[in-house]
Amino acid sequence: MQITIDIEDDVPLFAQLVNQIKSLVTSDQLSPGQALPSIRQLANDLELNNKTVAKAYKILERDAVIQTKGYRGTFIHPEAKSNCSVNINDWVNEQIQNVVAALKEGGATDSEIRIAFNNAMHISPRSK
Amino acid sequence: MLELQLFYGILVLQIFLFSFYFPKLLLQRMQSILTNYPPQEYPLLYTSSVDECKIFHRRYALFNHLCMAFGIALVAGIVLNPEIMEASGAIMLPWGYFMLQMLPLLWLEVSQCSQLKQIRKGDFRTLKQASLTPRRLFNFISPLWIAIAVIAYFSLAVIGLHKHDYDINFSSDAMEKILILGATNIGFIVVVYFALYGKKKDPYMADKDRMKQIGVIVKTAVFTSIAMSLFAFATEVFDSQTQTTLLTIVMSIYCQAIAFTYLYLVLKTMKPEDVDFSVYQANE
Repeated sequence: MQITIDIEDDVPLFAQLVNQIKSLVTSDQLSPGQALPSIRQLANDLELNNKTVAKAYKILERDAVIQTKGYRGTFIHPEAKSNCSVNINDWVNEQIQNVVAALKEGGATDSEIRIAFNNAMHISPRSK
Repeated sequence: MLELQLFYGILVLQIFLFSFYFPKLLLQRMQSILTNYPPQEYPLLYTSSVDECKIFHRRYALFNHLCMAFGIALVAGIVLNPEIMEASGAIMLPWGYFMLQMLPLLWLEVSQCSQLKQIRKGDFRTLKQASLTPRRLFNFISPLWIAIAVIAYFSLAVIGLHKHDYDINFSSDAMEKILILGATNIGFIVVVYFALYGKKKDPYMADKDRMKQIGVIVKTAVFTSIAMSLFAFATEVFDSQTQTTLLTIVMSIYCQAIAFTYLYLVLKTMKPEDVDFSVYQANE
């Protein structure tokens, strides 16, 4: 079972990892409960920074495609296949569009919205 | 006298195995690879020309012949002056000669590291591949061997401390052995860790060959650790003042066991006909 990333692709490296693992899950090449390599092993094999792989794993865990069991390692989530169809980006886009539409209706200008958004991004707490 | 005869036989065996037989097998392996997988068809495997490779092979052979000649001279010297074996440092003779015999192998390893570094520098591929199968220690060696290595070390520690009535005196021989072996075992753990999880030294090597290589490293580390503990145990048990020749024989057998394990694993596990050389053909 191989994973391939293209370092010259426009798609960010962590996103390539996420997409490929999800693709392998939906095509049943990765089964629920199957172990995945550690962050260090995958990062060294792909010659990537540990943080890139860690970010990909974090997203996959957030999306309940994988689950980390401490020292025992990382495994494919029991309901990974159904969870792969959930796309958080669609939800994010929908929320932002709703908020922007409400702000414009309230009279806020585009630049006021952009400044407020940037401020919110800088001060918003990191998710766990 | 019998012990001395036995020592001559063991030392001659050491000379034969590690300055003639195994170097000959390694040289045959290198020459076979050069013949069957030449640079014209497998350019990614080489960083030097065919002539440079052949010069390297000749130098390697010469280096081993010189070690062998030195070994024969050593045996002749001991036969003519057997009182050498009664000197206090005689036990280290096989070890000292063994270190000399390992120099050509060390040179080979250093050359290979340098070659792999150049191969890595020349790897401009933008597609990176990795296996999604996790590598775990027990994929490469049975837990029983790890348990034996741990038990052997702690047994040595207990025996050594028991001989000195559990008085932890850092200047005693026993404590020295425990600490040196402990540090060496930690070194082995580091080597095994980096073999399992570290970066690929050869960027083109096929996964299955890499697994075999990791297996060789893991097994060599574990078996060497066991051999070290057993040898140290033997030196604790024997009275070194009355049985110097016997200890010297044990030392030679110990050196041979370590080197034999590594070379046997390399030659048996990484046979050229089982290695996937297609990965070294030119990129499309």
